[in-house]
Amino acid sequence: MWNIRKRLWDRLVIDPESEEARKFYDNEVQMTAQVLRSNPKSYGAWKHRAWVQTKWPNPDWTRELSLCGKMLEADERNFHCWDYRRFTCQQSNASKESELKFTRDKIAANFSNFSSWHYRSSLLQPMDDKQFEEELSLVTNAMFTDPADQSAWLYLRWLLQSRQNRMTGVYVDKANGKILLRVAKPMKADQLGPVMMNEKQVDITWNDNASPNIVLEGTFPPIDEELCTLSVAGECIQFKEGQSFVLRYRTDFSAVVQKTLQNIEELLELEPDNKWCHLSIIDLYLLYQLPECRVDLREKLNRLLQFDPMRKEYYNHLGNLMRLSEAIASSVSTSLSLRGLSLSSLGAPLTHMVFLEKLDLSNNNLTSVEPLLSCMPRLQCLVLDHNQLRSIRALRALPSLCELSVCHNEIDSADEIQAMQEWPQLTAFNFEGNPEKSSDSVAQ
Amino acid sequence: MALHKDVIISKDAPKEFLLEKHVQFLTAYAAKGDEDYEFVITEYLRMNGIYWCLTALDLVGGLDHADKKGIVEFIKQCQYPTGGISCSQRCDPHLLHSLSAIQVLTLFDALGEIDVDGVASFVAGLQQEDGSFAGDEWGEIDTRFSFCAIACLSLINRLDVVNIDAAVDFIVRCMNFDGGFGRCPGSESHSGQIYCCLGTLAILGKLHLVDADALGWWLCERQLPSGGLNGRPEKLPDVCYSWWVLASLKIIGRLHWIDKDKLVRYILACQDDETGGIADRPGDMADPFHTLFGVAGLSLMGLLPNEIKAINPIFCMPENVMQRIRLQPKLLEIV
Repeated sequence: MWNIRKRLWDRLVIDPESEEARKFYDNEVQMTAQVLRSNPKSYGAWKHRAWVQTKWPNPDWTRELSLCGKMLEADERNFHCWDYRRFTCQQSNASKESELKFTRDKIAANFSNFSSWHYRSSLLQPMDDKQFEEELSLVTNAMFTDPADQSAWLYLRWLLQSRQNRMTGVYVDKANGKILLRVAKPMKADQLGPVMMNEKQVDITWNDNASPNIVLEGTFPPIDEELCTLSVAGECIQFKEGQSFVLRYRTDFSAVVQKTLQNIEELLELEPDNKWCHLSIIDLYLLYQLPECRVDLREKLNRLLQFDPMRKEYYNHLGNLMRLSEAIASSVSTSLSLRGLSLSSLGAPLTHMVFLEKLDLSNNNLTSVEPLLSCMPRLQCLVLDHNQLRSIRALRALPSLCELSVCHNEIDSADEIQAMQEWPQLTAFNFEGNPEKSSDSVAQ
Repeated sequence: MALHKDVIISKDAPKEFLLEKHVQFLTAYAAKGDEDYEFVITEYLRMNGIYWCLTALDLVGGLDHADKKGIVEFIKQCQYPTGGISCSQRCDPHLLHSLSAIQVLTLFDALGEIDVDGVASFVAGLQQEDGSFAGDEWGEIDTRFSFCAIACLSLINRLDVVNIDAAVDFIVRCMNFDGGFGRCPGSESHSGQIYCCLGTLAILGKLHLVDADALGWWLCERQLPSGGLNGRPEKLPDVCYSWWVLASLKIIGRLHWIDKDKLVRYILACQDDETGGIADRPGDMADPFHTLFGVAGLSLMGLLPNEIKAINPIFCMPENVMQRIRLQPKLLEIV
């Protein structure tokens, strides 16, 4: 139906400046407004109204913004309306400041604020230190006003994450001209901009420019001098003497974040059963590596398991990440042992260690090492003895793997074992203590 | 006070899976004709409706009740010279309906009955420079349409006609601060959009780009005390999210992060024990859309494996069909 109206417009409106065209425009605007009054979530009506504005030389954007304002008053979570508002602002070059003010007013007035907080998160990128402090203050206020409002806590998590390094793991082989960057959010190599080593621009040939990725690999003409600094995408990365790899998972723990922790702990005293307080403190630790003596994380995790049993598997995973974090600590070695940590899953910060060459994960409870597969391009030696792996086929995604041990797991396919034995890349492969049966053996 | 929207499940709510009743409900729905009011007013989603009914019927072993010949004929009449397929004979072609049509024909193993190259060319023509897809000639952009396009092309084995890198790039630009995805860059995360984006990335082998821990947490937070799932924070539960949230969790290997028993209880409570079929919430009217997604959710959780067929979490089609056409893209698996 909307398409018929569009076709009619295209056929009948020859001169957009004419009086007749004006009548059509007013009519479509009125008609969509009527439809939206009774059906505020109609994809067709919103789309048609937007289409009509693009066909008109001088749309009244003030009126459109006012329409959005009224409709959001009725339903602050109407994402069609938010999307239309963003469209209006884009077309009319509305200022970020006015939009930030709009979301601030909405947050102050309403409690179902997720959409407003979300909009702020996109308006405020990138954010400077002053804005960061203001936002922390705004969201802390919201947390205290209504500690059960999950959208404020979600926004807090984002705010804290937003101060993390864009490049979390870095490897540079200056003698052979190789570079590896582990990025926090997927991006294309050509979005990085110029790369500087020791303050001189380096010409990098990236392996893949076409598609976004979480590990960017490239080559460059080798350099002789000692590598001290690497600057890329607005970040400066320092190297210690003789080193060529850095894990940048932790950010400096500033006074501002320290204050946030204090605020949450204060709130916790008023609301000892508040799930969000417990969860946020654990998040703060995992993101910023808080001094452990101040915070009893295991106790917090146990409380979460108690009052939110539906999500116990997620909290178990968090427990794994906490153990991983503690074990890795400040290690920046190319060789890492994570034996006997009762790990049943993997994640950050391990998955940022793009420079790892040897990894020992034996004596854990792993059924999969999936998270490692796309971020360990230099891993040569992997030990997975005494775990619960049922399948190892996926390990062939590791491009540098040459030594593998999977003794005492639960691999029951002789075909998989054979395929791995025949993989030319592997120079050493141990697999004893697995229940593997041949595919043509008779079932007993 | 923060709003905590949820429903209460009454103790009289159904607790067993009413398979026979659902077969009856779906068969009756599929048999409706021009004399029925409901048939007439739902013309704009006729093709989708057929897909919902038939897939649900197949999951519960009732596909034989369907009029295969009549439906295939109907689909043929809905294909335009441009190659696109519409929701019914009098409507315009659109990606949403083209996907449903291809899914139904795949179910019936009857893809050869239509001009498949035409469909490929219709879909290819809708890709924009930034990698996104418009739904039709009028240009509405939405990540749902990226999924429709990529799923459709992969079912007919014609992914060669579009720019895959650009398609992936657009999806990545729709990734939000919470790890979720919206309909366009800048839009709020929503479970339906998340499913579409994850499905697209899975088909194209790009799941490693997802922040699975962050997104998995956001998704498992959709579970409310009633056991039901909502689509985004502070919204009521709805059975269709038992599909979109659950399939998303399955794709990123974190299905175990929700409480299965409680969700099963919620879905069963949404059944209509008089007419058969499943509604969005306990006590509401049943419809094929919620019936499909409720049954699909139960299937993903492995309920009654001898009565409910396994479902593919990417395509929302029976797994045995995907095996037949050898199209089962890899999922993430941490467990």
